[in-house]
Amino acid sequence: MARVILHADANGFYASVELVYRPELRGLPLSVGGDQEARHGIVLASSREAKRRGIKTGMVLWQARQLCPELVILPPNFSRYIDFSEKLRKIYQEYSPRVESYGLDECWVDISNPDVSLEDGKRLADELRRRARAELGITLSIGVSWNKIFAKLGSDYEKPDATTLISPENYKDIVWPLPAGDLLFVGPRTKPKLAKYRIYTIGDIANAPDELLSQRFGKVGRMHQCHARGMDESPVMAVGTETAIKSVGNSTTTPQDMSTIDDVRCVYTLLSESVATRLREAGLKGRCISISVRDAQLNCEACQLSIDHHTALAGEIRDVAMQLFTSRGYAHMLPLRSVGVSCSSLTSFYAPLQMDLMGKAASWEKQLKLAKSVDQIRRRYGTQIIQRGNVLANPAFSGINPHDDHVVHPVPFYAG
Amino acid sequence: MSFTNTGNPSLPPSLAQRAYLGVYTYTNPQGQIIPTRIRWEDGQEWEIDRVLDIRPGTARKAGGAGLRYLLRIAGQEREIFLVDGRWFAEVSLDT
Repeated sequence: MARVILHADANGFYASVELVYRPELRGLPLSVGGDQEARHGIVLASSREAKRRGIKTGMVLWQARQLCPELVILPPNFSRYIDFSEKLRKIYQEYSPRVESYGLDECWVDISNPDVSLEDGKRLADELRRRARAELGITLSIGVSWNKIFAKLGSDYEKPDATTLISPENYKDIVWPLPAGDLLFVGPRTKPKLAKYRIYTIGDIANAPDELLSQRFGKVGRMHQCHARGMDESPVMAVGTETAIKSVGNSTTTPQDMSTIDDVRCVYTLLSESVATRLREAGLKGRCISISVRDAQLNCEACQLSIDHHTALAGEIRDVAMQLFTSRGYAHMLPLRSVGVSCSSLTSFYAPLQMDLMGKAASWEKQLKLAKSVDQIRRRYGTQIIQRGNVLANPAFSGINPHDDHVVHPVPFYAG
Repeated sequence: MSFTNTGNPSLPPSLAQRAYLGVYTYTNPQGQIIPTRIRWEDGQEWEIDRVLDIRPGTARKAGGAGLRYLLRIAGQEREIFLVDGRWFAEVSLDT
């Protein structure tokens, strides 16, 4: 049975929701952006008019304002976006129980049934768009196809408020001429690597010799090729925005730039404390530590390292983070605007520990007891009641409280 | 509605205002909330002759998404909205 999958993407979601509550601002260039005063000021979403003026998501607010002086900037209202996201999901769920959220503003809906055709999918997509417009006042772009990857491409193909059908008959005309980077998971790092082999479009990926991609890019290469050929078979899972945890991470934009290694160490200490506490709260420990850094020009770098055991200790996470930071030469990027650390390859907190000759395991358990005591103290008296010395020595950063400030996460594509 | 102004240019005036209402309601066995009588801002009360339509919708002028009720009050059709737990009618400002 051929599948029928919809991917619905709410256009400029946060901005659209704001416009529902402030209809008089319709037609003006409008962006939703973080708090300017705490310097978290970046554009999170924009209206069509703002996009037309060149405003891009992720842009710093003052840059956006420079580009478009009459830009209206509204602070985000996350509880309202979550509410709208749930209302959208409820609409989708009237048609199928298989609704998979991908962030707050995107969903796959699998309506496969023996007597449902792709054409029926297109009709339902039009109905969903009509309902979203009438009931919630927002517009959707929907892609309809027989697999998740093409459905997602379809929802990006025409915006706003449009349905794009990608069928086995037309996919070579619609999908294959698109740039390789449009394919889900082909990121800015993979693109130049593909270009080295003269692979520029999704069609090029599909038609490249099988060995080339799997030899050069391994498993991931084969995955990209399957996706480009429309052979993705991953199921639409009935999951909400609260999927099983795959990683625990924190990042922060500091109130002032981090200009020395000590500043960076201080912030990584804070972030690692938060990550470790949240791991312990979730009953997890992890062994793959990744860090990300962003400089004042918003250049980003990220890398990761797997250590030989699972951990939920702030000190260990911080040390690995700093080791990565120095060994990758990120010090050259100073001053930094924001840094992040996260821990993945998770397992249960109670998974047995490999005992080793040097007695590391024993000392690990001892430190864990200490960490848990600190958790208890913090639960009673607040996160900032007990802090590490190097953090206290750095008053510019000690006010950051990633554990309590932490908000929403995007959802992984392949859950479980 | 209030919001922190992040140095915005002068903004256009609202298209309409929300006139918040007091509403007497009946919850039917299906769980639908049916308004039976409304109390206007000035304290005057009106009997609702008939609820003509209930559906999710948006207040296009005053703003907000929730439930839109189409009522007949004193022989006239009138829209009211239930958004975030409060009832209101849209009142145009241009007249």
